[in-house]
Amino acid sequence: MNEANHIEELGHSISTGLSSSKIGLIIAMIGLMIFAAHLFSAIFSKRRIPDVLFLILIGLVIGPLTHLVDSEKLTLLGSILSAVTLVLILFESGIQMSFNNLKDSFKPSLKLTAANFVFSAIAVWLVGWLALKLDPVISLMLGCVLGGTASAVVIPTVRQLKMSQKSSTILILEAAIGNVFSIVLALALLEAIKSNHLDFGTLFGQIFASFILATLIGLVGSIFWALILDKVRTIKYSVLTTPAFVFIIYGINEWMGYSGAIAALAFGIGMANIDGIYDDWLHKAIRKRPANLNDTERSLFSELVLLLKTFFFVYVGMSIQLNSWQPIVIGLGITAMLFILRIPVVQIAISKKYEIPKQERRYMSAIDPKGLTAAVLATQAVAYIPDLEMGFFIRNVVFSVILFSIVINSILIPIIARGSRRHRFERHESSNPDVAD
Amino acid sequence: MPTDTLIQAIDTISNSAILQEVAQQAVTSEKASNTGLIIAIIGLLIFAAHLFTEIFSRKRIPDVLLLMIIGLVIGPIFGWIKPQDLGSVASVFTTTTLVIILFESGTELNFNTLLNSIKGTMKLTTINFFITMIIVAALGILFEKFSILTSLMLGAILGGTSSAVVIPMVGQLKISKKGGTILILESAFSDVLCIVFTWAFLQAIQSGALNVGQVLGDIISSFILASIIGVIAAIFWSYVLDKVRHVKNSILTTPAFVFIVYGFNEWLGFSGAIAALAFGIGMANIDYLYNSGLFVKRIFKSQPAQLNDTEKQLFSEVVFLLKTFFFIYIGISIQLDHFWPLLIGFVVAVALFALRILIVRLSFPGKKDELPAEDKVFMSGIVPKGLAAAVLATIPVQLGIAGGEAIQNIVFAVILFSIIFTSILVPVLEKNNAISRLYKRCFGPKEQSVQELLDNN
Repeated sequence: MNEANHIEELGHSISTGLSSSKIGLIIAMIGLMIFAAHLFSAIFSKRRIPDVLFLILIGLVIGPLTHLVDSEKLTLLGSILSAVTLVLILFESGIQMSFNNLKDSFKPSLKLTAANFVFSAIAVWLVGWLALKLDPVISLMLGCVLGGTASAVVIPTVRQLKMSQKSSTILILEAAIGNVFSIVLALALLEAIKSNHLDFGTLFGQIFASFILATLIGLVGSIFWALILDKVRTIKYSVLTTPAFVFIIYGINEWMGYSGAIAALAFGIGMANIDGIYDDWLHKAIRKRPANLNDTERSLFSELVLLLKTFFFVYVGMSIQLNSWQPIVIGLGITAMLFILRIPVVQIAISKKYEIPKQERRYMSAIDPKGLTAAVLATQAVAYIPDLEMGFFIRNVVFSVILFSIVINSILIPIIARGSRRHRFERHESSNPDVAD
Repeated sequence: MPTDTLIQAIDTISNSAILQEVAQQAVTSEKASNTGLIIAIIGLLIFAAHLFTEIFSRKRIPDVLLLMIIGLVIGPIFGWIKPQDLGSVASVFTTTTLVIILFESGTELNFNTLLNSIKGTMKLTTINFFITMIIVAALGILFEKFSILTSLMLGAILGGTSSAVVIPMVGQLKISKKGGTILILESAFSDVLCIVFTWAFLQAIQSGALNVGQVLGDIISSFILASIIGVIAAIFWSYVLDKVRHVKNSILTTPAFVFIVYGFNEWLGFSGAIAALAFGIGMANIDYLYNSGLFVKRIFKSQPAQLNDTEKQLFSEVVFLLKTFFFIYIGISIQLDHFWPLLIGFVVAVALFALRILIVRLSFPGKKDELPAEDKVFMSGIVPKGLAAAVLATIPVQLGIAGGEAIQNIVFAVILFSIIFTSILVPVLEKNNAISRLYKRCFGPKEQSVQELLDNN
């Protein structure tokens, strides 16, 4: 036994003890990656090819294609990196939202989330059940896993597209709310697969609690933090205590079974609108005016988001599994179907009365990426589904949909952007025939 | 025959990739479901780090020690996190910490202090390295019956001090600028000696011959060329910095550039750590370089760009964050399951701290060095071993050198005890007590105090 331990330890030290020149190379690569992220950002502003696509491609190359990095060994750190990125991206997008805008966007966002979720889930369910001959409950679970969109992809995309505040908020909220639907429904179905029993009452209760209580905890957290922020700032190196506090809020919510993501977003929204919250509700109860985030803090948070986003997408690329072609092809088919469905979904949910520009509605029809939540749920599905091979198959299909949905999302955006430019150019030409001549 | 088939079938099932994947999956999904908790703990640790800094400034209990204890508790004591869980990412993380800490400390050093401290640093670094190497080698022969070359290799691994521990500690101490700079430079320079000598002894063990000329050549190229590359990179970076700042969210491109400089040096076989430090020093003294009459003035059309306050603030925030998790990681990676190496490590650490008094006395013997007695007392209490030693200690095992595993375990134990001793000694030496009086007596009543030096100046 001791011998075995000894050998295991030896193996470990050999596998982890990288030579200093190898570590040097990795460190240089990290540095280059940060420069590459800026370069990709610049490419996006000129050619509208999303940086996300390049980062995922880098991940694919160093991961499943060349096996330079084995993502299986990074499972724990990968899940921490993903969660940290998600929390910071949501928080940072929250601090740019105003209450007025939220009021305007909430209704269309809820409609878009519900329509997209219901249509996507039903379509995937039918395809899985009727075409792929999967068990109907497993198939419905797959539909729920793929019903939402990914905040970590949507938020950077809407930022880079410089969409109007209203459209951005609609899409960001759609991603956050859609995730809650996905998590609660998919986990309930997984439990049902395991126990052969589905309790609808508890299900609605969970969704309700997850939304309302997470929002409440996020907002209360932000009020508390804004009230003590002035004191916290007197401590040296305290800028990062704000994200640290968001981590705690996220963790508490996840621990209590509510949505940590919604809480992180609500915390950001609370911090951004703290003056309004104070003037409307708190000024009678609390004398001290809460503090706002300052410019240095905001700029540091967006620096961090850029850094985390870069490595997150490289990690996504690394963890895609290319072992067998069948789930990959099925994933591609499902993704194509979801993107086609997205067009009528946006038309139904975002009617003209919401006064969203045509171009932005076009973009909305192309933004349907799947991401972190789908990946986590698919990984958990393996532990729940009794037929193991089926579990792995479902997981690989989901991973394939994640890859293709981000890729298609990234390809459609420059096409739409170019189409609209050409359209504008033609309109310009027809309105100025002299110029055209 | 059917029995054979059955056994074969069982074998196939038990070795199948699916089963292995299921086992992996079970662990993964269990850990993934704990992600929320882990994220909350990360948040709490950042607050704890601030609390520990506050405790240090009030009660002088070092934050480093408290962070390491957290690591020990969640690592070897309760087994919640094992170094294996972190895989090779851990070595990348520790190196990143080292690079950023060295760069950031470089940005605080000015050329005048550097020139003032370089002679003292050289003396302290070499005397400390060689005396430590010889004494540790003797202890290796005595306790483990190692061969002379293997013992010398163990001594070379433990001959330096750790930048990642020394730099944050110097920042919190009431030590003169010169004394602080000497300690910081010693930690950076000694790493080079450790690396070059350890490799030289390794090669000698494998080939049976020691090439002294090559060792000297390696040391010189590692120092001089890494410093030159670091300073040239700093000149280049301050030349383009104004343009880089036009790019959105570009503050982190400076550390990114340091990473490239570090990796480039390591790839060439020079010291990446020295280059990172030299880059920081170059950035901090770019005006000095510009006005020095060197070629620098011809490159720039206008005054070169310097790091601004927001950038410096971000870097120190990042250093604080990395330092926190670095010490927790050190605690996690300590191995407590072998008693004998722990005991030897303890004895070696005690010997190193006792020797350090003699080493400091030898390095700064007289009044001419203009170093206050308080500084020498602190210098005698600061001999932590760290990253370089840990990395070097894993190499003999990988190369299958006899006694390699014992070396690794002893070095890890010395790292633990040397950091603990430093953390405990430093606050003790700051106060007026029996130990601090004993240390002060070692440097003689005739030594000048800070106040006397200030009065003289």
